[in-house]
Amino acid sequence: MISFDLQYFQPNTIEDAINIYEQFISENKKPIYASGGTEIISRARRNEVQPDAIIDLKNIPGFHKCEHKAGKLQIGSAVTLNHAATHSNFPLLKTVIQSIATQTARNKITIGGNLASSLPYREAVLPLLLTDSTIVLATPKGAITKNIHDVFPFNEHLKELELMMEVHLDSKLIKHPHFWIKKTKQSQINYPIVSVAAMHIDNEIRIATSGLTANPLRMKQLEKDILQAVEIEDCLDQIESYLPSPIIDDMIAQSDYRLFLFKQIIKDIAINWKGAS
Amino acid sequence: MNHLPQTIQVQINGQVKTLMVRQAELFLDTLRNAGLTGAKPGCKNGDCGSCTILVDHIPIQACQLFSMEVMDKNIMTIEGLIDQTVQKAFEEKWALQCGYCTPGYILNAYALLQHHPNADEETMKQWLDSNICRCTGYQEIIDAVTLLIDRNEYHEHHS
Ligand SMILES: Cc1cc2nc3c(=O)[nH]c(=O)nc-3n(C[C@H](O)[C@H](O)[C@H](O)COP(=O)(O)OP(=O)(O)OC[C@H]3O[C@@H](n4cnc5c(N)ncnc54)[C@H](O)[C@@H]3O)c2cc1C
Ligand code: FES
Ligand code: FES
Repeated sequence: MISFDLQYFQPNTIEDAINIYEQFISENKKPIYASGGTEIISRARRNEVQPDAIIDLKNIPGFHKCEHKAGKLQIGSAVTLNHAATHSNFPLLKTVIQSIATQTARNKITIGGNLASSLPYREAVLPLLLTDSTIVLATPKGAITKNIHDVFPFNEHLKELELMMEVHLDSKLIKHPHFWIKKTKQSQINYPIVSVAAMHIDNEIRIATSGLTANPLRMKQLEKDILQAVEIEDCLDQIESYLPSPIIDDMIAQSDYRLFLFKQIIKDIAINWKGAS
Repeated sequence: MNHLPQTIQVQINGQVKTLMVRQAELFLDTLRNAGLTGAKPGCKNGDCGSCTILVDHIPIQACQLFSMEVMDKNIMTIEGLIDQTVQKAFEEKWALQCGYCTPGYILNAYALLQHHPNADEETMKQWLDSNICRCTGYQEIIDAVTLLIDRNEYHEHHS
């Protein structure tokens, strides 16, 4: 049960969504956008968030699209994880999604919610970071398109009122060879100690990871080092210096263990793919 | 704008119902307050699946759903599953003990068979992994669903 009261809105247009948000802000109240709503429910139940209004984006046409159009895979932010896995035709995205939560939970969790989650994991973003996706944001002045590397993590970059409408990526990239591994503490269904997604695109080995630090990361410097290294061990020693924040150290796993796992995984990727690059 | 309870109209187990709900109310509570106690509160966090219901034929955890979200949707709870085929297979294979998780499992298995009447082992496992049972060893539940697939029980309904 959610113990406090709130108002629930289901706008049919982006303009209405932003207007409702704006109105609550002007009254010094706290609105929150919702897609799947599952994280908001869990956090509100524990009183970690106490929004005055929930603005459910699911009824806005276009937020459910998942299609290839004009050479781009376009995914609306209210598309559920299961729908994206089935309809995107993007093998790595499907594999990653199928390791997030459970089949039933994925009928409700959305792409937008996973990407904008307050949890550190946000694993669905990894294939999007690897493919240098673009994000279409709705702002009070209209839609704007940004490179994912400029707006992710959203909690640091999204301005008040702004919301995520769609993610776009080059359809040509989706069939390139990929690699995915998720190391969890106990059962397979769990948050990762560390998970790594990689793609082999032309002459590049692209790597992104979740679970290592407070935000999922694309490891561009490491990608370059791997290609140049004569001995893979040489670039593994540098990894820590490329991280923008400390390695997570918690009851699930110590930071040393996370780093150890990450290095082993990187070594495996390099050994497997360097011959082909 | 106000916090007042709202009226929602929703089809539950084939009947159109008009319900008064708090806007912050979760649908698991709405159902149980309406006497439909088949959906069980377990973790209330999306982890255990004991509250699973079908929303427009898709399994959803009722603890992860605002009552305001189900407006005009078609809901099935265990009380509405008149077809007893899955229940009988669970009985046959001893796929329950205390029974607390059973309504969630049965609805999830029913939806699996509707969507994938010939589900392969991987698909079945993926779907059934959504639910937690503290009593059985899971194998009995897998056996019950496998029995239904092998007997082709839901193929006709689907095609
Ligand atoms: C059982 C379970 C297991 C899980 N396992 C994993 C896992 O293994 N890996 C993993 O990565 N995650 C996992 N999660 C976490 C889950 O992916 C996130 O909690 C996700 O946020 C839920 O998505 P949602 O659509 O329900 O989000 P919501 O509750 O709708 O929103 C989450 C946040 O995103 C914001 N938001 C939503 N949509 C938008 C938008 N369009 N624009 C701007 N902001 C927006 C909301 O304001 C809110 O702050 C798990 C969750 C559960 C319940
Ligand atoms: S009570 Fe809903 S998933 Fe556990
Ligand atoms: S039969 Fe008791 S929890 Fe499953």
